[in-house]
Amino acid sequence: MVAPPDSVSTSVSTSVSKSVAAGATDTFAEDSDEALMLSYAAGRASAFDVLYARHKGGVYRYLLRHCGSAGTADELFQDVWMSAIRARERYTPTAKFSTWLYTLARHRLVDHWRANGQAKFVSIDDDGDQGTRATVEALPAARREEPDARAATRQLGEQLRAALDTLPAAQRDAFLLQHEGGLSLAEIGELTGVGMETVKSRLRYAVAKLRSELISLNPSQREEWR
Amino acid sequence: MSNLPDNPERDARINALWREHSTQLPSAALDAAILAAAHRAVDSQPMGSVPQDGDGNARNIATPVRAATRPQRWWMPLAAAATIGAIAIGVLQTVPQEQPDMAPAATITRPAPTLIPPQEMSAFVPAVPAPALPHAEADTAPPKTLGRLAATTHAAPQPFPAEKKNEAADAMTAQAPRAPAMDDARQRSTVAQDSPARDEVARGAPMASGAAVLAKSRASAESAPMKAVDVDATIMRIRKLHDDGKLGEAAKELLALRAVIPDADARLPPELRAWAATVKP
Repeated sequence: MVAPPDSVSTSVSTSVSKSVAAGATDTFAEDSDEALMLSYAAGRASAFDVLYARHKGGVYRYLLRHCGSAGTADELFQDVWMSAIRARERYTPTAKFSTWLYTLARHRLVDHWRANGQAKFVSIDDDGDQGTRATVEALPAARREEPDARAATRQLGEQLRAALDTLPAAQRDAFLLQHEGGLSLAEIGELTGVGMETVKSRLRYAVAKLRSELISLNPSQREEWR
Repeated sequence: MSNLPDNPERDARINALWREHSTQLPSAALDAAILAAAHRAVDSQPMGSVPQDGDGNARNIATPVRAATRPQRWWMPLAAAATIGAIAIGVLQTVPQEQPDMAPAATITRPAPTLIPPQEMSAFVPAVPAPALPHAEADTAPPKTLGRLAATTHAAPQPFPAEKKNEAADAMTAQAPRAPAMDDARQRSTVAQDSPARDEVARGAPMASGAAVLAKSRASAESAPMKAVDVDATIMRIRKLHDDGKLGEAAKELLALRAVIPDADARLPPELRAWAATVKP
């Protein structure tokens, strides 16, 4: 559930005021993202440290899963945070900070794809069954049949990531925004510019396909996935 | 069945599997670069208080922060400009003061000639005019004292010519008081001969140039006979003092005459030349 923008703004402002009035710079760990961003805009660099630590993993994986290359992900990741740093004075807490941050990341991703002649988010409702199947089947059989349980778990994780890579961009985007960004359906809909039902549909398709692929790759675990 | 009943688009097992295996993080170098950039971006900003509105809520933080940092940014070039200006004024005030100090030093330290007031001169002037200097010489040759003064004045650097002339004239007047007639003649000739500023003005204004030329010729006509009379009268006085036995006073007069005329001994009567040879400064 997303708080209305006005209530977000008021609660964040009150939080910043209290924090500053108390002169407590060590209490950033308990502050909200929005309060941290306002504190950073006011000149408290340590607030950014806390904010960065909270969101660096999610943003990085969101970019990495979309572009598939660690080098490109590094470049885009740095650009996103530099954009956040530059935009600190314009930041107003009308919505959750994570929504604002992932919007920056998504815009940077779209710019990257456009620069490379790609348009990943155009066919947003393509379910992409063929691509998913081809990629999952390309995984090495020997690794899939690794007997060790720990290795099997790791293998399952790799299969999941490989299956995610084959999802249509819009479904993958919704999945990553939900799992890495922790955004709600409404926030994902606001960020991607579609309705909540569309977001639900994309997520439902994405999860179903991931399960299907994992079951097909691990027939012995079929009962566990049902 | 792992699907959540109220959230069918979520799968608990996929969630757990994703959480377990989605652990990639940016490199430490990337972290350091971004954090360093973030700290650099706010390093110049003071840790000011957050402005609040009437309800105690923080509002519009960025603008006061920029306003607070603005004075620290503009006072530095202003201070640099003020420093450069002060140095320039100091240099300009120092340079003109050095030049006038050098020029009058040569002029003022020279001993002023002892001239005879006209009342005294008339007493020594013989009834029959003594053989004077050739008229052409008196007309063409400027008075040597004034000529030297003029030469000195022209040779010296003159940032402020009018003031310098006045200073030199004042110094001469202070050292050696003269007869009013001599001073008038000297002033007129000084004005006519030695004032380049006035000459320039005269050249620039055709109406005034005629008057300047007239004044110049009048001054030279007046100063040349005066010079001849002075020399002759002084020689006569020296001879009288010598004949009266006042050799000390005669020697002083001779020294004064030498200061004005380098070949004063040659102009003395032959009977005085032997005595004059014994007079040393």
